[in-house]
Amino acid sequence: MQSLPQRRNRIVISLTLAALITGVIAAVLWAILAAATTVSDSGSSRIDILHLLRMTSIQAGLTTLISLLVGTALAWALNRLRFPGRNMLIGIFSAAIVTPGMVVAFGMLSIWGRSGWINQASLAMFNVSIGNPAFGLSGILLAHVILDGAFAARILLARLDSIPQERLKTGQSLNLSPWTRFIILDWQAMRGTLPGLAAIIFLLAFTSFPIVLLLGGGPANQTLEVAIYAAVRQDFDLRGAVLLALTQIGVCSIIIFSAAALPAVPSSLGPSSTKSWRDRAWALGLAWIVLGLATLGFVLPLASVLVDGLAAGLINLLSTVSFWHASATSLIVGSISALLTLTFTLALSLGRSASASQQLRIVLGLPAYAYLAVPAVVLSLGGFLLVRSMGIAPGAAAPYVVVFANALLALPFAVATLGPPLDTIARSRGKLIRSLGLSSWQQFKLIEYPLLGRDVGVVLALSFCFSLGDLGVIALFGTQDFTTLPLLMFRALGAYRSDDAAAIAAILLIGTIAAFEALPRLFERLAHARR
Amino acid sequence: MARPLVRPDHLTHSPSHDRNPKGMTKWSSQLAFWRLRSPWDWLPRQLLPRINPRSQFILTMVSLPNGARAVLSNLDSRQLAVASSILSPLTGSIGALRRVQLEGDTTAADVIVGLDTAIAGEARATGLFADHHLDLSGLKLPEPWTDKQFVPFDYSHFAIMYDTDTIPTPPKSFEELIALPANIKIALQDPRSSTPGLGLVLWIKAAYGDRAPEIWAGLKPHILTMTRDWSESYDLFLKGEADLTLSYTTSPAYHIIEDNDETIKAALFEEGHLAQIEVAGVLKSSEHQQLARDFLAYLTSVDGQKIIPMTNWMFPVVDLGADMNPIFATLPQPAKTLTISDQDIAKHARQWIDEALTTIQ
Repeated sequence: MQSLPQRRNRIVISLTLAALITGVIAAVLWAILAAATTVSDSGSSRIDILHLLRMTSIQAGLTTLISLLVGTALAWALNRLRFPGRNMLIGIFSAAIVTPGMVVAFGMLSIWGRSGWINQASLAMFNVSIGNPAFGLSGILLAHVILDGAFAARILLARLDSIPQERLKTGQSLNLSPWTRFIILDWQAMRGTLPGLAAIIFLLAFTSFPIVLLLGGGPANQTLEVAIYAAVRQDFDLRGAVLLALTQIGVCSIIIFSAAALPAVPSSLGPSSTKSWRDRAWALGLAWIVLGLATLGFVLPLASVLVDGLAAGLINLLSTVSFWHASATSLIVGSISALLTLTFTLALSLGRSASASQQLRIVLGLPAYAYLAVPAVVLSLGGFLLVRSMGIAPGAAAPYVVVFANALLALPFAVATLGPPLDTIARSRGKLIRSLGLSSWQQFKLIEYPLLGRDVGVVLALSFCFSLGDLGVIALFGTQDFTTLPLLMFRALGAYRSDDAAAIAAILLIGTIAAFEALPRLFERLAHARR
Repeated sequence: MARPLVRPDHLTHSPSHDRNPKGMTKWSSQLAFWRLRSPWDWLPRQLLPRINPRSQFILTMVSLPNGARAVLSNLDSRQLAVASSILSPLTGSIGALRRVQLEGDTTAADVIVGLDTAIAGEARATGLFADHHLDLSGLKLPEPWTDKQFVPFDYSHFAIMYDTDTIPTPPKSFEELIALPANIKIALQDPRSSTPGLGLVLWIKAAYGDRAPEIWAGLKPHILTMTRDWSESYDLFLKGEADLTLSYTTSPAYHIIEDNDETIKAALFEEGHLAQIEVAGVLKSSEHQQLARDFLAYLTSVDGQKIIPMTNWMFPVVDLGADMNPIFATLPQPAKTLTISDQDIAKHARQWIDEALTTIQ
């Protein structure tokens, strides 16, 4: 600890920022609580919180379980197999974490709907209808598993790929069967990550908004987030919404605090290691089958979005003013919130890595998780009530609230990406930095930034993509003059223009994957070019 | 069964204005907010082209479907519209009311279009609506219009839609409907956000009284989804995701007139149908009371009403005579019209919605 460079400024800045974020969250909570006590009760609240909690927990629990199973199987298959295009495929699966829920929900209908590809194929070949699994609980689970299963696979694959070569050599020389190897080597490597991963997937499913809104099939299947939205937007039951928001915050906090005791899930990952394991033929065959099915399951809905979107409505869409307007808004909001996320992340992580005191480190780590406890719709509702109580038109405050909320959206993942490497640098190179007498700025410019170029890109990409795909925040705040692409798509779906919606979905998907793949590379290159 | 869908159009003075938009819309279900001038400015607005240089205001027409566009472009030629952006409510026409409630005096909306008589009582009770001061004695409606805040602009009967290709013998009552095989699916609207959704709750209540929960329980296995809005569920129906949907007895006119397709029909029920009268109202908070009233006067004038049947696919509230497309007269209409008193709706609607939603939950 003695080797840490003295960086009082960094600590002060990050403490100020932590206080600021805490202040905003507190103001939002205060607005919600104030509304709960002042808003007159507009008749009996029809909200059955216990029912909602039960349904949401069942949904999130099943999502977590299935996603971990699918993720484990897929990670195992990817770890064993080597083929041309493997890295590209892994890149596509990695993009799952940023793929907008709306896009997947839209693709689900084309694939799993009654007039979707699978039912049509099944009717043509076997004359058997699969019904319509795209709606209701089955639809929600399918869409969640597509996203979260791929996310889990990516994280678990990194664990498998990091198994030391010597162990693999020993295992191979002992002639372990595929099953024994899985138990002795793979399971040991993955086990530590599973609880934290499960907590994240559970939270993502528990707070899921667009997928449940579009595929839930109405009041029968809701998450608390969707119920809050419905209470505000359909019932004008603010008291009910506030109760739901408090329940949501309570449940999420419990999960976060219990997960905080568990090891962190790294979200920035390097390239996979080389293979040095010869497998049995049947195991390889099984791996190919798993990989094939998972790829089809993941890629088909997204491919259908591209096919539908680029074929039907694109030309029409491109000729509309509202599309260009929404695209410009999305780009501006996405870029500003990405920069804001990066600023927050750097300020918090630099301060955290410069502080020797354990308590200080915990304090500086907390703001990152504020957002998970107070998710999109709750934050949006609070912001809405806050500006309303100040007498400001929500439309006028919308851009600021949306940018800020979107910046917070990516913060947990961003801090998990930049925090650990910054810590490592401060600890391993602290003596060097001190002996060279570098200033804080020189330390950042000469040491930290060049080493972290790629991660800076990852943070920007994550935040930009989250913002690009966000519906939860904008859904309450959007106006005709302030519309992002997801909101335009949501509106097109509600206004009987599904060709437009398909085209917007395709553009969102392309934009997300392009940003997610390109930004890290760009910043890696920039960081190296500077030196 | 892919059908061409409605393209967003804009009130532009470009050649694209003349393209014939295909696909049925019921614009009153999509657009419930009319704002007559923008009170605030924000950066992206500057990126918008100034569409009408003659106007002293920037026209911010965003995703305006044919019906509303037709009404508004006509208004423009009468130099009446310094208008207007349309604030989409996102969650159906009741959603628009909620939004105004939520925004209170800070709302940017001047006029709400597309509420109906069933929700009018609750809307009136918010105290947000101003009197319209219009003489509506010339309207042709079953009963003389006495509402001081809301102006009617079209009407039709609710009905369950089916396709003769998939359902050759349609149900003749809700009881026959719920007795259909479970793989026959219906797309409904959420009664909390959409006026047809609320209409169905009231319709079943009017027809079955205390037996309403039985009908809802019978509907449960058939419900594919409950959408926020009429448009979304009608889309699912036309795409073949659902076999049935809730719409209006006038909806087949669109398919006959635009697509020459006589397979989409409204099932007539023996227990009778509930009628919907759609209304519009001016908000007290609007700074443009006179403009807003002028708009409502135009909406209910013969000129304005001529636009309704072929764009919103409902009956007009004035006698159009020869200007009315004859197809509408050929559409089968229910033998019996059910009614529920405004008092009963005001007193029990919330409880009836709860009853229906709890049954299907």
